[in-house]
Amino acid sequence: MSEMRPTFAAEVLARSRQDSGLEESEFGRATYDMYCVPLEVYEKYKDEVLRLSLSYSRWVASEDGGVLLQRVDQLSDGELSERLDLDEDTVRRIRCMAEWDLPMEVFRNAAEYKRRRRREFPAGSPRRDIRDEPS
Amino acid sequence: MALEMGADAVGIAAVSDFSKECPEGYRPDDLLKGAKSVIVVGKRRYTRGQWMAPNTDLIHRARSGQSNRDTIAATLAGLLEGEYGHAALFVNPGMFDTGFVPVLSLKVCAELAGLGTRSMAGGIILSKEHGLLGFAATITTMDLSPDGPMSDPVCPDRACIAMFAEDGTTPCIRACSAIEGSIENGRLKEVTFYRQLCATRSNTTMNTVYLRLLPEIVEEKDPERRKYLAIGQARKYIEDPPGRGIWGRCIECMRVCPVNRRAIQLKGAEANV
Repeated sequence: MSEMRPTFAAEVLARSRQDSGLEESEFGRATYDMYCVPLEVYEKYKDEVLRLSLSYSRWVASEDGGVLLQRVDQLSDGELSERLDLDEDTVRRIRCMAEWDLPMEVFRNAAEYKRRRRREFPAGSPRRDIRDEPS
Repeated sequence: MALEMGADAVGIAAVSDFSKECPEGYRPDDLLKGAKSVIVVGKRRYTRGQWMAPNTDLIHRARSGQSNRDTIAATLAGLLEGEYGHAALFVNPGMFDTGFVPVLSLKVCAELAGLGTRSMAGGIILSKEHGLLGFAATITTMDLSPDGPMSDPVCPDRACIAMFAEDGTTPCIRACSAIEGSIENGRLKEVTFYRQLCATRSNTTMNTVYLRLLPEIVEEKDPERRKYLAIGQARKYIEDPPGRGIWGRCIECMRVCPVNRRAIQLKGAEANV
């Protein structure tokens, strides 16, 4: 009996594993585990990750009176991993989720905010109520 | 050459100046080994008429058609390689590392090249001559003479200094709750920017927002309500190009900024400004 030939997809998978350089333990994981951290880890750290990353940016005047403001925190994933004692991949996975993890209402409010500003402060534009964004 | 091609401003930053301003991994020589200089191209983002348009969609989409900023930066890279034999690459605002983190901060590039200084308005780089600019950068191994940062800050404007002394606020702070800060002795003392809030306004209809809507569409049990949710007015969320950056569907802070208003010279319009 001839040897069973692997499917083409299985062959591609084997070659992709070979080239990835990942540890054996990383293969065959659930999709969620490949891209996400456990929910309890996400819930525990998401707020701190946002407040320490670019999502909340803060600058203060330079002590030497120079023109460049000095950044406060605005940490990279590498810097965050040291601060929070997490590995960098975990920080990145938390941040990339948390950056979009806002109620949909915020986006509706964004459109309403712009529409209200245009009406109250037309700055030379016509005073028509133009609804060009979902609200 | 950049100015002849239509750039409004151009400056050069020294790569050695980035180490204090940017974390490791996000500096020009992290992208190009041996990089010495960054040429930064600044281009106005809107015509004066667009600044006065009431339609956010028109403003946003027209911008992408009018700017050859990226082409200028790419042409400079080609010139540095073809004429001078130095490696070069260009970076535009659409290049992101992961999430909302850019591969390189073009604001820092512009600041270190002397094209403007950070403003109260969320750290936007303001140019005295041009107001709000969009930036692209060309990183090269060629050692060029840097312009360096400006010697005087563009922000705060004298009108904002007076307003802050009187009311403890500025036009941009009053316009947008993503902005907080203080002024002391005529200089910015502190600037705070809720970038995530700004992102919802700047990306209101980017199709990444549709991805945010997707779980709610999937969770909706009623097929008719689900259909409505997916293709009703919310379909607007998939009508824009993919974008992860702060793309500028909101310019409210700049519409009220005295520096910007002076630069764009909003005259000839209704006087309600």
